[in-house]
Amino acid sequence: MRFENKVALVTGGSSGIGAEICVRFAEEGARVAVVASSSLEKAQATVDRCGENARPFACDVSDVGQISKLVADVKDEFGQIDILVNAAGVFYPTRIGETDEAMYDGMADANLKGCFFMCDTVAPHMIEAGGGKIVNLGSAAGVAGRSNYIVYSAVKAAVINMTRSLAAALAPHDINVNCLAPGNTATAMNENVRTEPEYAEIYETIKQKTLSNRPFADPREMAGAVLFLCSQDASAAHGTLLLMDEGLSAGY
Amino acid sequence: MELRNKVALITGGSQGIGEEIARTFAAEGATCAVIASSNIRKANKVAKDIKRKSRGYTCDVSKPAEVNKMVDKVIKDFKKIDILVNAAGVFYPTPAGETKSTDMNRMVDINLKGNWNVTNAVVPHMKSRKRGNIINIASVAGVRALPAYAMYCATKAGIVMMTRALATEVSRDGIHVNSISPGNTESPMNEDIRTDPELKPVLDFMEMLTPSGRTYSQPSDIANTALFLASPKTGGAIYGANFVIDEGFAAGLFVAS
Repeated sequence: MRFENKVALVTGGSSGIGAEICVRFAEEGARVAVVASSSLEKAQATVDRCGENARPFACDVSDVGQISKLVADVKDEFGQIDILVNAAGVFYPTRIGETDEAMYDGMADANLKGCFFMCDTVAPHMIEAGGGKIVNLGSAAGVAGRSNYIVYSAVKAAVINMTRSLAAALAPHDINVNCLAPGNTATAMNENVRTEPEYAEIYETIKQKTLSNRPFADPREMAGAVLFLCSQDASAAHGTLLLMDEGLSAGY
Repeated sequence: MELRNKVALITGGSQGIGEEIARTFAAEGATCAVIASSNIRKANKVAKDIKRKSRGYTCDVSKPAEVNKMVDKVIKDFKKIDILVNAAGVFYPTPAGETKSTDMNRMVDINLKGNWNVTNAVVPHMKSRKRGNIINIASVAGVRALPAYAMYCATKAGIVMMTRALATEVSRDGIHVNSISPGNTESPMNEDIRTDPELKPVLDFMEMLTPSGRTYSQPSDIANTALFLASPKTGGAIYGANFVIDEGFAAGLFVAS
């Protein structure tokens, strides 16, 4: 039980990789604040998987006011925040000629602004407590371009480099800030790509570009990497990028 | 027991980071072939300590014929190699205008060609088994430049790209190839910097560049990362990646407030 007596706050906890992160933290003894973007009911679904040591919260991380309230509520509920995982984010195409201002802002606010202000709001509590662990979710799309996901790849690149700056700022306070960059990972969000004939061409492209024999990784492995980065074993990791993408970005 | 019944070949295994990796892997159930460059007693001592039928070997990794012989012997002794850790390496300054060609060649021969020689000898075996895990120990000096260490930096940057390129070649054969780039990590290789008063300016320089306040990591920090990569439970999705574990050294400029 690596995380007994620890409290983990996980945004984007209602589904996908974020939900697996919550469940694995709970399995290893942590108390978990499961944060959904829209409703407590959505967070509750993950809480039910986590067991008695998890609580549901709702917060739109693109709204700084809601972040302040969330962090205060989690502190009230658990008394401490040892671990912050920023897994909240949105994902949709932003092609040239098909992207309006609201699409741009929605992408940048949820993925980048939300990540910064979560760190900015939680860090003072960690500094006061004498240390902490933060993991930001980047993406393989943040280390190379994506012709159909221009803004997504830009903000994920920003998250990766912001992680380095945050690490440089917070390492002196014994706070480890690191970034996990998943590649294609099997979640509900991309079930259509994996199963529907309409997406066969996209699936085939991903398969060809992936170096391994597994085009979509297991979300539980992503969660395992987050737990590793938050464990004692990774205490020398500050500002590192863990690229976990079946070799998608290594090659051609 | 993350590595039960696995066989790991570890170059540079008799001291420093390589030795710690051997100890960590053995504690998780692996049998280790501990390779020292020349001192068989040191290799045997580590092998005896970590048990699991581990054995010591010597091999100058810069010599392909010697490498091929060593790899054949390890496969004969243990029947297989599941994990290869290329941790052998040398570390010394090569200031421009003051470096003998023999010193430059030795750096390239051991750090870069040595890594390749062992990999080249092990890959056919891993391909035939359709599985394998190769972990190359690069350095933060392969992603950030250090004055007076141009050739060390170049060989380590070479390892980072060699890792990626090899991943494009063998991933479909079920072989993981990744690198770890440690920052300053306590080992006999840098004991002089940590203890010699004459080298205090170098130590101060390193300290100034390390945000965490821990100028030297422990070998176990790197060994834990190697275990994470080597374990089928945790490293399954990682191919062609470079994992920087460096106390924030490469993260960027920082001002200690």
